[in-house]
Amino acid sequence: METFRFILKRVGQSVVVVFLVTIVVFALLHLLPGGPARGILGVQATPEQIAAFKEKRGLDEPLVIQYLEYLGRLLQGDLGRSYVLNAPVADLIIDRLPKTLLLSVLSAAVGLMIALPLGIWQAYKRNRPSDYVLTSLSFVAYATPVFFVGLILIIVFTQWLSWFPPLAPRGDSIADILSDPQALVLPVTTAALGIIALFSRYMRASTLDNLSEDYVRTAAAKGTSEGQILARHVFRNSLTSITTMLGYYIPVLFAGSLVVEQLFNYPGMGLLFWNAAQAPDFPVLLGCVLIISIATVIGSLLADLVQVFIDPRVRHSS
Amino acid sequence: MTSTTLATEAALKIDDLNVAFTAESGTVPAVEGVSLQVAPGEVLALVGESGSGKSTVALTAMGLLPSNAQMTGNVSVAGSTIDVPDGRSLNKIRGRVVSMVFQEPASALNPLKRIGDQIAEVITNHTDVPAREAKARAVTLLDRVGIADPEQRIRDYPFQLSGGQRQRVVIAIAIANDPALLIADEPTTALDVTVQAEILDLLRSLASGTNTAVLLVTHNMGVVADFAERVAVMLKGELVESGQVNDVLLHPQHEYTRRLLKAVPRLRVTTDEPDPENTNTESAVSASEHIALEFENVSVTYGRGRRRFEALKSVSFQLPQSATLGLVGESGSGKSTTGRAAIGLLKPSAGSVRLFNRDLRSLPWRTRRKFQAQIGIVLQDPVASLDPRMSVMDCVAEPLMTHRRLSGTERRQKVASLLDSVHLPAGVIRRFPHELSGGQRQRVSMARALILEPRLLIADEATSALDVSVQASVLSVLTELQQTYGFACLFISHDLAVVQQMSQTVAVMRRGEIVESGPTGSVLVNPEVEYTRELLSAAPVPDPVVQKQRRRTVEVGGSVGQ
Repeated sequence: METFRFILKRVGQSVVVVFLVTIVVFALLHLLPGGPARGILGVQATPEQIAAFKEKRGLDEPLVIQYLEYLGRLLQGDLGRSYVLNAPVADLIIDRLPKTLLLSVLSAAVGLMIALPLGIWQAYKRNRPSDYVLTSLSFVAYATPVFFVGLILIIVFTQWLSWFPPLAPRGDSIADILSDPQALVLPVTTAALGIIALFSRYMRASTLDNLSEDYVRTAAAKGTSEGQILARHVFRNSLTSITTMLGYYIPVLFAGSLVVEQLFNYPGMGLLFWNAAQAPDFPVLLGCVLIISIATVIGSLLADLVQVFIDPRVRHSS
Repeated sequence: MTSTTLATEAALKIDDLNVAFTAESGTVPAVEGVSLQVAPGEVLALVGESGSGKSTVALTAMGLLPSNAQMTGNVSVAGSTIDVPDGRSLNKIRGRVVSMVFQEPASALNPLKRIGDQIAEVITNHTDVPAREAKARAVTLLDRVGIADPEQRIRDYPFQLSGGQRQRVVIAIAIANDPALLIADEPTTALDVTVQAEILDLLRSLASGTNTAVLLVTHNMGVVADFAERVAVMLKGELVESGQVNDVLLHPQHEYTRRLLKAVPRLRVTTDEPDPENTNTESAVSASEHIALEFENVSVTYGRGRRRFEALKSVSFQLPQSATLGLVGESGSGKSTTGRAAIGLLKPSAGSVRLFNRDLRSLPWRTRRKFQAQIGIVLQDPVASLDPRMSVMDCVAEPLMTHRRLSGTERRQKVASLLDSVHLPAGVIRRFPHELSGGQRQRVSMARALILEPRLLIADEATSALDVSVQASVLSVLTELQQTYGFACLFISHDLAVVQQMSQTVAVMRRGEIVESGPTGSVLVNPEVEYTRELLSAAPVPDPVVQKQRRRTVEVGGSVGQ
């Protein structure tokens, strides 16, 4: 019952945050110098052309009215029409979103499966040579820009070794993409590398924090070996802070896919966003930013919900 | 049972133990040349002040020294040698042959695991039993350590238990495999006095029923007198004296033991004893027409709706100028809430708080600040209550900066004279809190509290975190300052003996109410309320003979607490 109330409260908070996000996103884009009309028609457009365009698209109405109309359409699933591609934004996003989700979830899963054990291992071997080497490597990996990592991987694994193709799988459906797993290796690796670098650091720190807790000493006093202490006690307790971090990491994952998708020409949200930003195609940009914001809010909501199941204190004290 | 009557192997045998810690500044010796033995079934208390190395000895016996420690010498538990680098064979001993009860029950248990699983773990670590059997044994153990409804409680998480119950769970883990040696490192220090009495009763009954030897590490001489058979006194890593409890506590040989015992505040339990410590009784009576602080039916509530909690329920008292009122009670009784309401940090939901005959909350902001400048506060934790990035000068001068306009030289002079009156050397003025000892830091807090020459000082557990000898010196400084400056003092403490020494009147609090109040001499010697009697009988006195008598009276007269 208390768990249910907690979940309800958190979901309610998330809805409020999403509404605030729509206001901020809408205001930001409309307050750009020249506004969307100048953006579409280019710098050389005459004031008359701009006025005509504004009237046609309803851009001369007060911002509040425009926002309310926008919100009303939003609730019906209408994100507007792309200025450039001349297609409904919702359709474009529905086509691209699953592909980006696939890439993100795959890279996150692969990344975490490597990062978490790595972090625990480093905590176990703390301040010994293997820990120092891994720490240095993760700093290098974390400091390297995603596009650079991708380029190096392409050079090594397609130019020199010819193990994997340089382009991501083509295809309209998820099934098509999954049918070519070889082509997925490089994009997923590129995106996962950042996760490995960052989350192995988090996991190492969180594990070390927990290892210095009194309950670990109690476990040692029971005759539990250090390996068992890590597996039975420290691992789960360390995850509480990792899940929160993971929730916050979702926008970074999306930003990463922006670069990765562009690099490997993968038809996801990142590529859509990239092209819309170059055009500039404001309805598409608005739509993408909104979706990414919602994903972020859902991400931290999920992190909190997972927390409820890991930590009994959250369940009972809320 | 003494060590000579048994020819069997000692439960714990330590021979010429030396332990040193490697720190950045070099090697720091912690234990030097300690040898001791504990026979099966015997209770040995290892006493000393912080930094004496007593906990290091205990951890050595568990093989739990941190990795930066080097040890030489021999340590064996029931015949098995404890050697630091040999983790694997140690795991077979820990929890089975030797086990440990820790100081802080709040953090000693894994917060995310059910207590039943945490007890079962120590069983399955050492015996090859199915999970169901281990769980059944955990239920039995919970029952043995006095937790009601063990079948249900086994599914609880640590945060669902009280501090005393958590300590019972830790004890259940420690006794699960009937160890030869039980190490109890300050097992009751974090607990309230009535809970302490229950836990000591439990440990005593567990120890007497089996052949388990107990190494009790403590700084509390009352606990030693109550529980131990033999005692060993440590000072700066060395063993300075050991012997039977009655000999050491009543006729100490070593000069340090004598000093230590003299510093322990003693609760007077009869009226015919003279009261040499409390010297300012008379000045208080003469000044009583001026009331510094008055509570009139003050209630304070936290939260609202279902979570509404009454922290104070219609509390009334008067604190005359120049007098000291002791506020005693267990954790959660509302002592600190009273202190916070007194300085206007909390708004009473009913009743009025009058400070120097004015209702603080009805005053305009500016006047209220003037009144607040006349209150000084000393808090419990000498580490947390000073800003680590401010020098002693800045810490002590801060109230001056807020409330007075003085030149830099005037401020410096004022700070220097205050540091002198709390008996700190002039050199500390440029130092930072981490460069000072706990007692010095608490004196800095006191200098800061007194720099505006307040008319009221609130001391909230001001000496609870200090060693007894340091506590004694801080208390004497406080008494001396009160005589000089004539401030009223609200002295909040859980330690009845200290309150008896410091205050002329006392109020006993329980669950937000004052259950009994009056002159210290009568309330703490001939209490009229049952709860005060319980509190008094639960606090062990550092005299083994008297303490054994008191315990017998308690056992005859009914149980303590709960």
